[in-house]
Amino acid sequence: MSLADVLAGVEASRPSITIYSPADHPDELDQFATRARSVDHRPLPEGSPEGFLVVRDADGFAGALSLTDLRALLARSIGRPWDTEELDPGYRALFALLDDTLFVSLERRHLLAASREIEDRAWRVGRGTLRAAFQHRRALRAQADVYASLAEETDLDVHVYYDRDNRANGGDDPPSIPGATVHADGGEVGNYWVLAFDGGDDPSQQCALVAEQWGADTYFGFWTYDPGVVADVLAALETW
Amino acid sequence: MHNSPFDDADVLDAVPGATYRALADERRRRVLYLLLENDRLPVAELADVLSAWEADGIATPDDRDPVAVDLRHVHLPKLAAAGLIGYDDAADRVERRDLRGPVRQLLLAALRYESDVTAEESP
Repeated sequence: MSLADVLAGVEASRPSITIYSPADHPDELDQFATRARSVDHRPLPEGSPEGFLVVRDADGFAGALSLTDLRALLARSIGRPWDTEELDPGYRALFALLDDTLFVSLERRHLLAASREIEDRAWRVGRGTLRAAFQHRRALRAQADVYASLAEETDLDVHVYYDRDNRANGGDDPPSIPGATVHADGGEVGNYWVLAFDGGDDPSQQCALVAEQWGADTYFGFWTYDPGVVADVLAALETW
Repeated sequence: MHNSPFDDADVLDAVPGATYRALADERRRRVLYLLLENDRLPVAELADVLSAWEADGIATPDDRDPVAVDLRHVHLPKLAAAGLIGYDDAADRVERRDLRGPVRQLLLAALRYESDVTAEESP
C-alpha cells in the first residue's frame, strides 16, 4: 500500500457531520473541523428546538445527538467527550466515530505540533522503530540534532528519508545524522511529510503522521494513533 | 386544558378537515417544519433529522430506521394526498408545496405553540 493509498483510505473513512439548528453558525461547527470529512449546517425554522448534530459515515446515518447534550458533554470533559468513560454506551458508540485516533488538518502548524509530539513519544519510549521522511533539506537540517539524539541516546532504530533529487533540494546530500540510517533516494518520499513510530514494545504508543503538500504553504495531512493505519504507513516507508 | 394558540378563528375555519387530519401527527408536522427552510429533502435525510428531533439524548441507527419506514409507508403518502408536500417515491424525495395562507399560518402557530410547551416542560 502506497502513502497515496493510505491518505485516500483515511479520507474515505471519515464521517460527515451536519448540524441542524435555527442559529446561523452554531459554535459547534468549528469543534469538529479536524475530525470530520465535512461539517455542514442546515437551517431549522425559528421556534424549533435548539438543534442537533447528525453523524453519517459510508453506510449513511450513524447517529445523532442534541446540541444541548453535546454542549453538556463538552463542558464536562473539557472538549473531549470521547474520553468520558462513564458515558452511556450509546454516546460512546457515537463518539467513537469522532474519536481522537485520527485528526486531519490543512494547517502546517498543526502538523508541526503533531510531528514534535510523535518524536517526543518515541524519545520517551526509547525503543522500537521511528521512521521520518522530510520533503525539504532545510526541514531535515533543522531537526538533524534531534534525530541524532534520538538515534544515539536511546535504543530506537531511526530511519530518515530524504529525496536529494526533489527540486527544492537541488541534488544536495542530506546533513549527517550520527546513529540514524539515512535513505536519500527519492521515490514517493519526495512528495510527503511522514513520521511513523511503532511504539516499541508498547502498542498503545504507536502513532503516525502523513501530509501532502498542496501549495507553497498548504498541506493536507492527518495524524493517527490507529494501529492499522500506523502499520500501513510503516509498511509504505519500509519499501523505500 | 390548554388555551387555543390561535387567536383568529377565521384561520381555523379556512383550513379543510383533511388538512387538520394531516397535521394531527407530530412527525407529519415536523416534515412540514423542515420544508419551511428547505425546498426539497431526501427521505433518508428527513428520517435522520426526525429521529434526532425525537431522541431524548442520542439517536442510533436502530431508532432511525423505523422512522424512515414509517415516513415512506404512512406519513409522506398522507401529506402528499392532502396536497401539503410533493412526494416523489421513485426519487425518494419530498418537495415543498406553496402552502396557502391559512395552512401556513396554522403551521407556524403550531410550531410556536409546540416550542412554548417544550420550554414550559424544561426544568
